[in-house]
Amino acid sequence: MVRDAIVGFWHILRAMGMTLKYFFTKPVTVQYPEQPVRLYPRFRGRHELRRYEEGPYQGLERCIGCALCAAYCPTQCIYVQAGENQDGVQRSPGERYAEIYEINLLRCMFCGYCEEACPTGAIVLRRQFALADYSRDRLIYTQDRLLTPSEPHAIILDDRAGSEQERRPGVSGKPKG
Amino acid sequence: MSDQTVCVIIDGQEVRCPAGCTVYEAATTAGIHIPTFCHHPKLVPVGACRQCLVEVEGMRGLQTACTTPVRDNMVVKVHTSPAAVKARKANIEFLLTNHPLDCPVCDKGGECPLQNQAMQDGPGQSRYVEEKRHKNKRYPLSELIVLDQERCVLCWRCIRFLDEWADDHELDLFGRGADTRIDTFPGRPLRSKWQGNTIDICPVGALTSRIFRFEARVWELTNTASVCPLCGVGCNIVLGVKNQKVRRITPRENMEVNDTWICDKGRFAHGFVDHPDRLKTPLIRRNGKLEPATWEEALDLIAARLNAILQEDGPQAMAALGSNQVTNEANYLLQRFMRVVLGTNNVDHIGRIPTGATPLTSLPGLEHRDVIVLLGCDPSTEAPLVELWIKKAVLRHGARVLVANPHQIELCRYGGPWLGYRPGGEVALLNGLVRAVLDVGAKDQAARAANIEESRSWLKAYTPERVEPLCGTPAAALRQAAEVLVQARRPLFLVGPAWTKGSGEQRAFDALANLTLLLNDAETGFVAGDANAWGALQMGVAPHWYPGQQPCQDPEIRNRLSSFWGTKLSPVPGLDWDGMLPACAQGKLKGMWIIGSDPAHRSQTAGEALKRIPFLVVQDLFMTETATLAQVVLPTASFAETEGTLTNLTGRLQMIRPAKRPPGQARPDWWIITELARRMVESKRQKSWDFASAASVFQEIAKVIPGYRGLSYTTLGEAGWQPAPAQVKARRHLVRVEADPPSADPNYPLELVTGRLLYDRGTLLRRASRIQNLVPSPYVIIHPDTANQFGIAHGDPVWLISSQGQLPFTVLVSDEIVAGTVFVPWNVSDPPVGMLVSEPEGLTRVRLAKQE
Repeated sequence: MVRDAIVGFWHILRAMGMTLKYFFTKPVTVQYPEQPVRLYPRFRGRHELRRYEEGPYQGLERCIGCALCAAYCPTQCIYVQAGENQDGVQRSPGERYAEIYEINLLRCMFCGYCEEACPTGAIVLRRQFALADYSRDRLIYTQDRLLTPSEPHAIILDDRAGSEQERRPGVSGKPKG
Repeated sequence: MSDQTVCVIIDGQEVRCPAGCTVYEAATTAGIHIPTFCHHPKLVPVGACRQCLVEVEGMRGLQTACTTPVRDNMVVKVHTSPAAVKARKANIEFLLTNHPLDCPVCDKGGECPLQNQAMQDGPGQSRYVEEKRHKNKRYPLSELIVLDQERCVLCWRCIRFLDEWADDHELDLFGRGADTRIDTFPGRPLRSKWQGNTIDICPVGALTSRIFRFEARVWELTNTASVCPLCGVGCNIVLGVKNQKVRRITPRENMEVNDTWICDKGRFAHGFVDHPDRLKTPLIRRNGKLEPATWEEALDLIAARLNAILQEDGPQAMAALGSNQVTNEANYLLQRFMRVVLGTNNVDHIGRIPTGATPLTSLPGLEHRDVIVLLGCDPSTEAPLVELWIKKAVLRHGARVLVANPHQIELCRYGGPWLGYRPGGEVALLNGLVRAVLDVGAKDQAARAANIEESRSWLKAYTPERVEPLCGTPAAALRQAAEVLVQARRPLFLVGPAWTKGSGEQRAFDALANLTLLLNDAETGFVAGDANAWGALQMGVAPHWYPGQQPCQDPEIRNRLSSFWGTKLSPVPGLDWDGMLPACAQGKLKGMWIIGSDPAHRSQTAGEALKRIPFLVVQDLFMTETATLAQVVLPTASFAETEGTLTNLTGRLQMIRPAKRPPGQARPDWWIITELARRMVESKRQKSWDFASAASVFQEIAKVIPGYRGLSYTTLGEAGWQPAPAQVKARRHLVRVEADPPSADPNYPLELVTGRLLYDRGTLLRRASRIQNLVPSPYVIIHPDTANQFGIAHGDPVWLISSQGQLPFTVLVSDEIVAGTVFVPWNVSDPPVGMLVSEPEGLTRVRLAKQE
């Protein structure tokens, strides 16, 4: 019994020592959003719908409402309802556009398959990760919100320099590719 | 094709097949797949796409499998010939050189034969780097179909379908070589009512629907096998639903009903199912206004009021109207409720099939009739699939179509002769035909009637010349028709609802039986225009019939059903619809329940009568005119939202299945009736109203109706069940039926003829947006003589005046109508033409006046 008490005390001392050790090392947490987080270049955050930035279609939505993203999505979190472009009110090039485009981020697992399926490069997973909200409904992202770009306060690590020493401790997993 | 079989060797496999079939068919029977585009099993092969190239030993070059007939001991190589495989691969590549990469935005994507074959056999990449050829994209061919000429692979399927089946030659190839394209003829838009089928058979996304356009990708649809509720044919369909909305309707093959085709009304008019006007909650009239209520409130109120009427005025003060549009289950439960719970036989429906009518025995059997006589029936608008089968008989076997109708219908295009008659002249017309057949056919025909000698005396008065003034049919046309009939091997008489209105049921059918008994192997079939006309009758929604058309007056049957239903059935004869109206007007009816029909819209008399009912309950999809008069309105589920059976015009029982949820709190008819009954019967009887689903209701129906014994939803299956045709004892005697032409009225010298159009402004179709663009503005067709008499010219606005009221129309002057009658399409004008009609429906006389 006495032996148990000594061993127990020794374990507590060891644990306290570990705690004390980290007391004097640099913290891994970041004071977000005051301080930037460091993200890997292929980090997949929240989706964005893109527009054409130049060329004959400048300003038009890239999305043509083909719903291939929804077809490919493993969690079925995308809902697309297409509409037909009327003469004079062109929302996307060609005949078809997405009338309703919604992503349920509560279901999404950020696999990026939608990005892969998209024939026009309309849907991309960008870097916004700060997605917490007070209502579940707000986490069903509608088309207008997806069309609005949003960048987190972050430093993007250089792809080539993304070597081991730049890795934060405690984060396992390799960059994609 | 002969009965001989030949033996061919395909890819080393010995295949036996009938002589005269093609290599493609032989390979298909052996399970060897040959890719095709232009070949379609229902169309005559053309060999246009070259996708089915195979090598045949001893023949130079490669052969198209779809057009090459087999010979005995022919050796064919499909997949074992490197040359053929290479040629087919090259052909795909060629087809793809100018086919746009539209798949993501193309409605065919996902069920496209070209896409599938390109994935299967095509090259992964195109070697063609030049600009693709540009033609018209988004090119509307009609209100319903849009063409993308760039996607077209020129397989001719659409052209061939319209030529071979619809006989509407409205599409063709234009241009030469690389510029070849599908188009309509200048100034002749695509109007065929069968055009929707070209969408299904198009092997690429060239022809697509404008109603389904971009509504959903095909893999997103949940498909439910169902039956079309818009006419009596009951075409087998598939409902494609995405997100609780019916997005499209496609046909389902049933060789006994619709082959693989459906008409455009059935395909495109589903807009009403998801229309925002649908009733979503029960409504109760409070302080003169209909206000939303819960089911509890509504059903409790109905139960209380009906009980009160039962106490004060007895069961005969209540009546119910079923419908020839709703399911058998609903109709059965309604009459069970009225007879068992309330104890009255006052139950009927509007548009009941006339007594003496028999169902058509078989739809595909129409093809093998050499003479088809249409009596007051226009299949093109009332039951379009019947028209398609008639066209098949005409186009493939040279059948003749005789048309007896006050105005010329579409099927008059096959040369008729057209026997125009004035309503009320049906008996005179038939007697004239009997007389003419006896004159033309001499001995053969006369020998068929046992009492021919005594009959000749009364038939003397019906020579074609004497019949002409009685019914307006030209003597020459009668003689011509008689000659056709005498030579007929298997004539078929199709009778429409209009036929019996002028002369009465008994007389019209007696006169017809006189004619048929003189002819070879003649058959009579009634063409019911409504989805469940036979069903409503079979389920006993008639005052004189229990389910299964068992007469109410038979005490034995009454006792048997009394013990089955556990009550004492009333022997008091019930009121039919024609009897209910005066009873309403006299205040004898205190309560009425109307399901799925809108009598107030049909005629002014009915509307006035229904206003006098103290407690009216209407159960419908929409706020109809009748519903606005009701004390309680109950929202019900449409055909896409409920389970049940419909009986088509051949007596075939077919199942509809729920494809989506009803809107709001709408409930299926069977649920509403069951719930109400459970509130009204004593607790020990509740068990007899313990229906958990439509299937359990059908189980009881199968027990009550003798012919349905042993049926269940499982046995009905996908294809439905058809009873064996009833053996009708053929009469051997001519019965004397004298013509009784309606008396003339100098104030209203013209007879009003109404008829359906395929697309109208009825309760359902009014809510199908694009279809509405195809409905003409209200018109009246008059004969040139009438025009002269009233001093009216083509295109004039006129008033059509009857004793009931007057309505504005535009005049079309045409000699395609019998003098002395005017034709007005039903359900097109607003207010409806029913305003001019008085109930009980018989003949309506009108006059014309020019609008100032």
